[in-house]
Amino acid sequence: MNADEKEARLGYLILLPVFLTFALVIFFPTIKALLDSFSNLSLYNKQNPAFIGLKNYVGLFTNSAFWQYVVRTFVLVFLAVGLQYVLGLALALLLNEELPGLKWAKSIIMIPWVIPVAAMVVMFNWMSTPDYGLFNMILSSIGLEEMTRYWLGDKAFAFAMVVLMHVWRNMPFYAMMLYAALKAVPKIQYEAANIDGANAWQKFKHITLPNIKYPSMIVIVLHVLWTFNNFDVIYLSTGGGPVGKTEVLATQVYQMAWTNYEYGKASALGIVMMLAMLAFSTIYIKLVRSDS
Amino acid sequence: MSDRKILIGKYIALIMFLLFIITPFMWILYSSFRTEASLFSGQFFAGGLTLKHYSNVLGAGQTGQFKTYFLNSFIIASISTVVVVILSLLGAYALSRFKMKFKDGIILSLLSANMFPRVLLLIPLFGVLFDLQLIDSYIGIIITHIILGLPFGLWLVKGYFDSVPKELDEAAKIDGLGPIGILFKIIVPITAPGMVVAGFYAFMVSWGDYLFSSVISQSLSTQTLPIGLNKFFGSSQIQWGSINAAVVITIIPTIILFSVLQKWIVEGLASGAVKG
Repeated sequence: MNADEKEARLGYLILLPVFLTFALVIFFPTIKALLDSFSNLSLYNKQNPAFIGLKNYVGLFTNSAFWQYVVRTFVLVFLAVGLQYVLGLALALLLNEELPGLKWAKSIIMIPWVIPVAAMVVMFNWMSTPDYGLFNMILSSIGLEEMTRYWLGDKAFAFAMVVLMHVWRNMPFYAMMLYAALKAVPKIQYEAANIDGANAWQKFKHITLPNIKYPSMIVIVLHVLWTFNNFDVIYLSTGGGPVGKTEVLATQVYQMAWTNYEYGKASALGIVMMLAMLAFSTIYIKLVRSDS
Repeated sequence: MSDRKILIGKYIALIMFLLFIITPFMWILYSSFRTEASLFSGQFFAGGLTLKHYSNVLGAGQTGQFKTYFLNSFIIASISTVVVVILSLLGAYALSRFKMKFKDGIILSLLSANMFPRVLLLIPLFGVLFDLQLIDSYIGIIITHIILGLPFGLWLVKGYFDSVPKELDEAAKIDGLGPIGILFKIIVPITAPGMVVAGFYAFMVSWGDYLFSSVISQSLSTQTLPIGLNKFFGSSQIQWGSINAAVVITIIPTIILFSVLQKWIVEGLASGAVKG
């Protein structure tokens, strides 16, 4: 055995615990779920589930409710990520101004991101309550009593509230990432543009945007994956209601598996979700690797 | 528009952002100290302030289980953090310093970890943990929480390792240090900030997890804070005062940790996202 082989062997040994963990918590469950998705596995036939081919998948695709959840999930991702990015970038640009007296702003904006979703949901629920919630108190105090309602339980507004919570929680993360990227833009580029007499918009378009393109893509793709797969924001705030108005794919998988105990069906839906995100994941990996 | 007006506009815009971010915190903090009469008055400032909600939550009353939730969360999040940091350290060292086959495959699965819907992974994992008799145990929950923290932690620490020049290793080797000595005497001190961030992240995601705990944990002996908050909330008589106090206590640990470590965290996250 030469020195290189010996070294590689030590490398494998060190990596083994990580590999075993990944195998246990990601690879094995994924393969098992894929197999289960072709069976009628449920709580009641755990010992002898039958192979039923593509029946679970056919059942999904021929169910109109499934397509509703697909559309709603994508609308949520589009709205949440879109708003998070636009607002996050605006906030990053404002932070980058280093306004005297407001420099401490940077140190508090990430707080929504570090608290548990379950806590955030109670905070927004408390603000939404009909008679003594903050939103309604503000509306009443400016003479808009007729607008007051239980915002999280309202058919027309529950979905907007879900988007709002996603934005509140993650927009600061975008802001910090983009702020870090803005800081890294060479000042000399702006100075050169100033000499050429460029206006603020031209500088933004031709210097700022190209320089933050890469971190922007990363943060967007990551949050597309995160929002698409997110379960607890909706489950804990509206439970998918009222009357299914905020139900998305992730909450459906959970309900199929842990309310109805139809593991086979739930696995099929989860596999469909995973395949849908494969494309985004590929983009993310290409981005990260092209850089390093 | 004059420069002065633009400047004022920027101040107003930033203050609006700050209000948007801070208001929910301020409101729940304030509400957690208001008397019941005051809470339900529909007025911004009415009635008095009280510590009653906190003594309810921390005492032995109806919500006395809160202390158990807190303790469970603390134990689970702390152990998850230690495990994630150790695994990240070992894995990152191997990936950054050793020539190996399958390295690409492992890096690929790290990066694609976000793609796997956790609601999906949970279904077969429940079966595995059931067979291992780990349902309703700390270990069962900790195993699932490692999925949340490890991919990011490992990736982040690997980035820090990669930034340590290999010449340092070579120099240490000449001084007679073995690989383990190099790891602990040379690399760990330099990459400490990365491990702090990985640790914070692991703690935060474990502290906040609802999905895995809600299925793996089945009795008070393992229920965590997010489960507890949701249970308070689901009870027929919502005790808003107590819930608000419980939320404040729940969010304080991660906020304090974040404040203490924030310079490193922001740097670490930025290097993860910016440098890749």
